[in-house]
Order: sequence, then C-alpha cells, then structure tokens
Amino acid sequence: MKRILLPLVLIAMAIATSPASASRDHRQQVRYVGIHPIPKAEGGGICHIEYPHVHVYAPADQKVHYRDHDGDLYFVGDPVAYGWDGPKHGYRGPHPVRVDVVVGDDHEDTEYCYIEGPHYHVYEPPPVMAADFRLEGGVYWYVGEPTPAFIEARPVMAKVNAYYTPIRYERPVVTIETPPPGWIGISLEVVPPVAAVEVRTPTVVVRPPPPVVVQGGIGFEAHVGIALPSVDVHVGGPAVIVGGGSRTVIRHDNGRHRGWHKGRHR
Amino acid sequence: MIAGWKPIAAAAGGLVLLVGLIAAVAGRSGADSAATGDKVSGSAPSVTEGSGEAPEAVGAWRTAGLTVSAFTSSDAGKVGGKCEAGTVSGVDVKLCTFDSPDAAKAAQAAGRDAIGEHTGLALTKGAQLLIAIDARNADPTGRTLNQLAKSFTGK
Repeated sequence: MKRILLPLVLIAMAIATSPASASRDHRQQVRYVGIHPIPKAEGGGICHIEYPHVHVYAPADQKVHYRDHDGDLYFVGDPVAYGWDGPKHGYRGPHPVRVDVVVGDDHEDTEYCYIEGPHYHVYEPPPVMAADFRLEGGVYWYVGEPTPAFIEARPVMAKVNAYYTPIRYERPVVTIETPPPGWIGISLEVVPPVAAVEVRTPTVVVRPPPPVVVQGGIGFEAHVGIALPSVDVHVGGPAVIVGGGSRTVIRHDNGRHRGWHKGRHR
Repeated sequence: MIAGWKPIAAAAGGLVLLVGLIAAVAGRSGADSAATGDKVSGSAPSVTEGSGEAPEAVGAWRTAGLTVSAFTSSDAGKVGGKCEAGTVSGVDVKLCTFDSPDAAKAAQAAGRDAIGEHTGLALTKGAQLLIAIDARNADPTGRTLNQLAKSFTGK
C-alpha cells in the first residue's frame, strides 16, 4: 500500500507546485513608469498612465524599446507611432533622455533614444540638457558629445529603427535642409543620403448605399469618396523629410510649456 | 482471490487521495485569488467620507470630472493604516492614512501586492497611500488611473 501511495502523493505534489500550474493561477505583475504601448494581444493602443503602475503583461520588444528605471520599465520609443494623441515634441536622430525628469522623481537616470529618423516624444529636452540640443527646422537635434555608454549600446539598440520603418504615421516634418553643426547624426552617419520617392496612386472608395427609407416617398443616397494622389518624399540624409500621409506642423509654445520641474507632460 | 484485489484497492485509495490533494490545492489557490481581488472592493459598511485626509483627494477627483462613489471605512489588511475605500469612474480605490510619510512609503509594496492580477497603481503623498485597481477593466487605456494619480499627487 505504501509503495503505491508514496509515488502518487509525490506526483500530486509535483503537479500542484509545477510552474505551469502556478502560471495558470497567477499572472506576474510587471512594473512600468510612464506611458507606453499596450501589446496587441492585450488590446493595443497606448497606456496613458504617467506614474509608476503595474500590468500583468510584459511589453513587446522590451530589449530595444524599454529601459529599467528603479525597477520600473520606461518606454523610450515614439509613442505617436502607437497612437498617442497628446502633446508631443519632434526630434531628429538619437539623443539622451533624462528619465528622472520625465517621470518626475529624483533618481537621476540618463538613457538613450536610438531612433534615427524624425520622431516624437512627449517631452522637450530638460533645462539641464538644453545646451546640448538645438531646436531648428521644427525639431530638436542633439549636438552634444555621445557618451561611451551610448556608443557601446548602439549596435544592439539601433535595431529599434527596424520597428518604425513599416509603421505609417505622421512623423515630424523637418523644415531645414542642413542640420545644425555638431549634430550627432553627422558623426555617426545616422542616415545615408539616399532619397526615395513614393507616389501614391489614387484610390476610389465607393460606400454601399444606405438602406432605403420610405417616409411618404422613397429616398436613396450614394456616397463616392475619391482619395487624391499624394507624393511623399523620404530623404534619407539630413535634409527635408516629409512624413507619410498629410503634413504635420509642429507647434511650439515658445517657452510657455509646463516646466520640466513638473516632470510630466500632458 | 482476496489478495489479488489489494493492489487495486490501494490504487483506488491513492487516486482518491490524489484527487483530494489537487482539490485542496485548487481551493487554496482560488481562495488566494478571491482574497487578492477583494482587498479593495470588499469594504466594511458604515462610516461616511470625512474621516482622515481622504476627502481632499476625493474632492480633487470630483473636480477633475471623475465619478466618485461614497467612501467608507475599509479593512486595511496587509497594507495597514486607516483605510477608506470606494470607486472612482469604475476603478476600485483605497486610501490609507498612516502616522508618517515613511510609514506610507513602507506600505507601498504591500499596496502593489493588493493590486494582484490587475492593472493598477500604489502611490504615496505624505502620510497617505493611494491604491487604485482596475479590477473590471473599466479603464483599458489608463486615462482614469492617470487622472486619479495626477489629482492625488498634485503634480
């Protein structure tokens, strides 16, 4: 009897304490700070919580899109590409990010954004770094010295650019042809000067007619929408960049923005 | 003949024990989950809003346009302090007041634990700890949670 019962008890205990069983019962909390994309499997879109918070899902593309800030995951990518419709500021090329200033705590933490093309963030460069950025042509350019940490991580982190290439969204429009002197992109040869022209053919969209409504007579209405052709010019070099779709004009508040001491931008 | 039945009877007994063990473990796990999910929403009756410092935050949420329920005293559980609980725009909220800011900070991890398997946050301001849990997925993009936190912290 004992010889039979003992293995059975051991098997039962193994089943009850196995990781598979645990994962069925408990989903692990993942700590975030700041806004971030929601994985498609979890509904997609953007999580708007700027403060430290938890979800029970892991982020997509964690390696290149997130940095650790005091045990919380901080998203360093372009939120507009994932549906952010709040305040935004245009950047061109890689640049450092003062995460502590963005999230509004006092744990100093400088991370890096490796996106090479025009992109958005919800923050402006903080005053402590203002001297290393130039606001020209509607976007911020980092003109400071790249740190060894930035250079060292670049081969891996620059892979983030592959995620943005296929995403069609309104990128910032850069309205100058020559980048400011000292721009990090020049020394790093961020984008080869290759121009590509994309011509969109017109498309005709015919909506189905609405149901016929009889009210003492007969009504019928048809809608035909014709999308006009557009030409998008993507210039790889530090010249004019015209984003996909309609043009975006960056409106700056000429210094009337909420100060960095607030830490959060909405 | 009788001896031949012994292994079968023993095996049957073992199976019964196995099933019992699994049921016991599943029951405990379910109880844990229920306890986790109940930590904020399961508030004790009585007590009106007005005790402690909770009303200040409650007023700020109302001013921000959020729909705020009545806040009643609540079991502090592992979090500690003196707590009041209610809902804000469908999100379960618990506000706990401690003797000091340090005590509130120390309870923050327990507050995160109370969130369990949901989206939520546990933030402090002074001697207060805010625990907000979206247990019913009423706030899938986090706008309410963000407004809750913004009004609570004032920054």
